[in-house]
Parts: sequence; C-alpha cells; structure tokens
Amino acid sequence: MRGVRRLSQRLTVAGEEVERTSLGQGLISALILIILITGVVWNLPDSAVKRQVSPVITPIGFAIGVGQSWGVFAPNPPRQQEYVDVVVTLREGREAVWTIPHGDPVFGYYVAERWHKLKEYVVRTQPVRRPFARWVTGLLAGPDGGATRVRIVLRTELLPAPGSTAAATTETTILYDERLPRP
Amino acid sequence: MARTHASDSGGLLAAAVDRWSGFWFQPQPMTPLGLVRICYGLVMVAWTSALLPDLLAFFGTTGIQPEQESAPYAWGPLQIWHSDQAMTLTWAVLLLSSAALAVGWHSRLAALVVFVCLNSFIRRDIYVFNAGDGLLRIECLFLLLSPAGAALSLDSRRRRGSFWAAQVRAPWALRLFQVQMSIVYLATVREKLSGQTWNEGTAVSYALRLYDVVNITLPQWVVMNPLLMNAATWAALAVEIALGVLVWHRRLRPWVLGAGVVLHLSILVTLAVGFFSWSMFVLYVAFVSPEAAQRLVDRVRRRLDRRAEDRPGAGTATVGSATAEPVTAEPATRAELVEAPDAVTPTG
Repeated sequence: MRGVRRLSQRLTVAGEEVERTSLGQGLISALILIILITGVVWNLPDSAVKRQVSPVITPIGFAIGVGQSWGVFAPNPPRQQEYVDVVVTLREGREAVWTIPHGDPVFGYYVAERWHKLKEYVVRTQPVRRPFARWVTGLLAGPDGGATRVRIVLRTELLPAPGSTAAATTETTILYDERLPRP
Repeated sequence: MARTHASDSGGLLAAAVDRWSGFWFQPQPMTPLGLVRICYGLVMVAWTSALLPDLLAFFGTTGIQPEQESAPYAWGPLQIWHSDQAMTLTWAVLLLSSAALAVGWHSRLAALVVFVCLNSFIRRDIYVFNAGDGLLRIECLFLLLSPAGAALSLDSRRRRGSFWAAQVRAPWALRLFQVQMSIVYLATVREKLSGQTWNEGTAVSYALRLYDVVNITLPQWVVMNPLLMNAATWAALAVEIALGVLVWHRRLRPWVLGAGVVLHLSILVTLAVGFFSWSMFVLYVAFVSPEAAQRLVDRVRRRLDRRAEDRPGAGTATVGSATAEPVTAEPATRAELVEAPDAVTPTG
C-alpha cells in the first residue's frame, strides 16, 4: 500500500510539472484535440469529412470509449408500442408466457431499463433472438429441457398522432420460432 | 503590405494560442473537480447496485449472452475471463472502486479500476446498455486523466491534512467535461432536427405514450393535445440548443443550467431512461465556478461542524469534526493549497 501511495504521489507531482511546461501543455493539447475531434466527428452526419477522418478516429473511439452518438429519442421517438412475449410450449402441451419486466417507477425502472434496451435489440436485430429465446426457455422449462417449442412474439400498436381520433392499429409478428429437440 | 498581413496573422495566431492556453491551462482551485468526482462516484455506486439483480441473467455462463461478441478494439477482462465468479468479482470490484472514487481514496487508481470494469461490462453485453451508460464511460475517462483527488478527498486529507483542501491546478480535464456537454446537446439537436416528429412538434407526445418507457402515465387530454405537445417538444429543443451554446455565456449560464435541470427532472419523473439524466447532471456540476463550489463546501462543512459540536461528548475540538484530522501526513506537493476560510485548527 505504501508503494501505491508513493507512486501516486510521484504521479501527482509529475502531472503538475507536465502541466506547467510548454512541452507538457503541447502534449496535453494534442490529447485534448484527439478526444474532441473523435467526439465531434462521430456525431457528424454522413459526409466527406466524416468518411475521410473515420478510418483514423474509429479505432481510437472504440479503444478508449470516446466513440459516441446521442440519438436519444432521435431522429424520432418510436411511433408504435412494442410488446414482446416469449411463448414456451412445455412437454405436456401447456404454454408458458414470459414478458419483459417493468420495474416500479422509483427504483425498479433503473433495473428494468436494461430489459427495455434488450427488447429493442430483440425487435430490431437477428443475432440476439436465439440466445434470448433459449435463456427464457431455460427459465420457464428448467435446465433439463422440458420444452418442445419457443417463439418470440411481437405485438405492435401504431400510435395515432396527437389531436387525431383514429383508433390504434395493432399487428402481431413472430420474430423467432424454434422447435426444440427432445433431450 | 505583405509584412503587415504576415504580422497580422502572426498576432492572430499568438492570440489564439493565448486563448487556448488560458482556457485549458489557467490554474484554478480544483473544488469543482472534487464535486464532479463525488457526484460521479455516487452515480456509479447506484449504477453498479442496479446491475446486481440481473447480473447473471445478462452476463452469466447460463445467461442471455454467455460470451462476449467479438468486435474490433473491444478489449476488456470479461472477454477472456467470463465465469460467473469473474462476473461477480468484477461487479464487487466496480462497486468498491466507485465508492472509493466518491470519497477520493486513491482517486486516480479508483478511476482506472472503474473505467476498466465499466468498459468490461458495457462490452460484455452490448444489448443492455444505453447512451447514458456510454456517457458514464466517457466521464470516467476524463476523471482518469484528471487529478481527481486534488480536492474534497481522502487523498487531500492524507497529503495535506484536510479532506476539504483543494489544489490549484490547470483545469483542462474539467474543461473536457464542459465541452462534452455541448457536444451531447448539439449532436442530439442535430439528430432530432433530421427527424419528422421534432420538426412537427409531436415527438414528446409519442415518447409519453410508450408503455415501457413511461414512469407516470399522463392523462390523454395532455398527451393528445396538439398545442401542449407542440409547446413541450419545441421547448425541449430550445433548452437543448441553449445548453449546447449559451452555457458558455457566463451571465446566462445559471439560467441555462437551471432550465436543463428542470428538463432532466421532468424526464426523470415521466420517462425511464436509466442513468442518462444522472450522467448529464455530472456534466452540469463541471460548470459550477470554483467560488460557488467553495461556498457550497463551506456551507456543508459548517453544518457538519455544528452537528459535531451538538453531539454529546464533543468539546475537545475547536472547529468540529475536521479538527481530528492530521495536519500533514505526507509532504505536500508544490501546488498551491486552498483552504476553507474556517481552516483546520488542531487542538492537540
């Protein structure tokens, strides 16, 4: 612990000295520019500048985590409700349904937000559907494989524009359907 | 003529270099950085705690994502070490290092550990994290680069004898937080203006009717009222533009940040967007001036001192709890030291 303290003390002193010299300020300025240019270019619309600079900044953005996009409810918030159910057919023929958890509005939603995000990916991307369906099957049918079929069902409800009196239109889609082998 | 032109551009360049240097390197007390670190550490303690109930469901060997998907530059210990024990241990280390960061105990090291663990989780299962989580990662990188323990920290107490002490340092890392805030708001406004609903003024209505995002269901006459929803949508855009641009105007800053706080509190109450609003508030704290931060610290300190004096048995100390602290545990660095006006007076 004393070694860590001494190292930390030396780094602090070294940091202060670097900040005071022109060379140090030049090096820090270069670091600042790299971070800022990466952040700004990452957020540019598709353009010649972005295409030109991306090969250089993409590795930096991914490696140190400064790659970023701020499309929260943008360019548009979703204009339809999406309900995802996982229907597992058990060996005795009974169907068990699992739905995305919705936490309480004070603390629970910080936990439920992760499930909400997962649901978005399940709806929009293929690769996560199979592991997700298999995980729910294990949860409902147990680890010894008491299920014969699993389906991910998406129910959508188009939201009418504000001011409109039109009724919401609904639709059901099967996102994933797998007949499971008997153990 | 040519010489005048050259000397003009030379003068402009020198002025630009001066302004750059003044903005990033003009020393100032690190009290705001101390506040940023404390807030960030507390948010990370909550973030890590919220991960626990579903830790193994998301990341475990029998979970939804048993192994990390391969992606370029996506380094992280959990990529190669992905047992359930590794997951639980990484979670525990993240919780402890976040708490260490909040109190400023070996702050730089704590920031490094938080950065590695946070990155590991985000990369381990990309399907469960949102923009707020990405922002927390960026903020951690800035803390890692900064003298995070230079104020309001156990590091300060160990080095200078007082938790409340603040070094005077170049604020470049603090400025990164500030510029990051402008990038977030300007980027989101640009993105929103490329869509239809923000331009039409209906976006807020749609967002408030999403059953799995809504915390409080507002009445239909509110969310379906075109005029109200126009006003709410365009007001949100206006506040975001102001936060991206006008926050740099010293006199407008408190008003702009106040409007931002109202915006994000409204989001917190009505919509479930995880830790996004909290991670934005961390950026807001970076805009607190050193003077305002010091006034806040003094107020907290006075309150703590008064509480310590009121405690039965207290009476040996002259200025409350802080008097028990050793004055100098280790040689101070060369940086200037700023102490609160009612500085520590040891009574022996």
